[in-house]
Amino acid sequence: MSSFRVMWLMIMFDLPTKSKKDKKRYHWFHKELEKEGYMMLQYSVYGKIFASSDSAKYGKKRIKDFIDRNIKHGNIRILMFTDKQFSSMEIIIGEESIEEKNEPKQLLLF
Amino acid sequence: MGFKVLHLTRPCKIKIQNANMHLYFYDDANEVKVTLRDIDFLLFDNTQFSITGATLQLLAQSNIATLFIDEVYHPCAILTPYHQHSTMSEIAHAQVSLDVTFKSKSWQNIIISKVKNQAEVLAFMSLDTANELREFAKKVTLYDANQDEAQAARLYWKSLFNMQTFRREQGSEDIVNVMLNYVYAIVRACIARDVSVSGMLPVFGIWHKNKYNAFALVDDLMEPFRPVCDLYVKLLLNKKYHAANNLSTNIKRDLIAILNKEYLIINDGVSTVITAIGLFVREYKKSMMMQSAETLIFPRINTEKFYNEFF
Repeated sequence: MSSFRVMWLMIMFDLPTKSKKDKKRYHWFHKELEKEGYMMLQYSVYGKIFASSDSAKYGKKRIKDFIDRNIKHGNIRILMFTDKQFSSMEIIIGEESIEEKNEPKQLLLF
Repeated sequence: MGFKVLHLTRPCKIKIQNANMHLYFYDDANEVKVTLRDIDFLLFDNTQFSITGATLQLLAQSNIATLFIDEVYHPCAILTPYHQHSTMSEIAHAQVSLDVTFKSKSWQNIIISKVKNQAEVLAFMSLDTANELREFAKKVTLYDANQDEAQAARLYWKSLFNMQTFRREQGSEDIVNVMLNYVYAIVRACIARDVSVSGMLPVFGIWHKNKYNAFALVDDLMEPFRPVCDLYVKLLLNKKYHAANNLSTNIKRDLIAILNKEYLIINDGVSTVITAIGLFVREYKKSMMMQSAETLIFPRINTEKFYNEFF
């Protein structure tokens, strides 16, 4: 797969967690992202890889749809970029997770 | 549908959490998370794994082609999704009531496409028998009544592996046959998955009708894809594994990698083997519903990619 065609979606969010209802919403959102196959890059930052920009656009639509259903307040941002750009990301402290390393590979061997 | 192929050889425990597959490996006590919706094909190349019912259910529901192996490490079972299509009954009715015209015509086209691809394989290997095979492709009749396929195959196998004694057999244990059987099993599993996903019943084939075979349609649709597997095995043997005498993990990994290689041209576009299979099965279903064998499109071998990779 070409690293220029493979797209990443990164979701960064701040959600209120003061009231009980807010906390519930926060957990729902986290679970929904997991179900969609997003992985946690770090707290409140999630990423997922798509084979093409078309499927990434569709992925974006799915996210928007389920956010619309439940979340009204807070701050959520989506960023789309190529795998080439993602791999040029510099990690200053900490290290890549196994999932992160596996993501762009088409053939997973264990 | 996903884009990943998963090959599991290490003993592990598999469970589902939040629709993701968690693989726990005993040897290094490591846990890896893989998203189910990204996986296209899953091969358990090991009998030492434990799996939950929820995993099997989700694998079937997410239309993942899953292969299990037997004690000699050869694929022996396919997990095919069942009743995953909304108009299943309509399609099944169309399938059983197919008339002889469609069946004979489409089988003829399938055989023509297979022999043409075989000729292309021989031409790629610069063997002069390619022209003879092209002649065979021209004269294939309805339902392949003259057995041109068998005659072409005899010539093809003899010249491709350049051995007078070579026999293409299912149960043989020489490395060529073993590798061929392995890669066929992988491709067959993909076709079985796509056939089930598009709502067709694999039992009702066009030409294959052995009473012990539950995958007759899969074996029918597989024919045009065999030559690309043969060429891949041949080139792998030439380049990397000329000294090999049994199926090692590395060979298996190279063989399973065929699914993601852009070895085919279908509908005037280059595509990977796995997408070409999906497209071909969908097109077959469309022409079956319309009962017109003429509209079927067939894959051709993308020789350019082979050149770039092996020479």
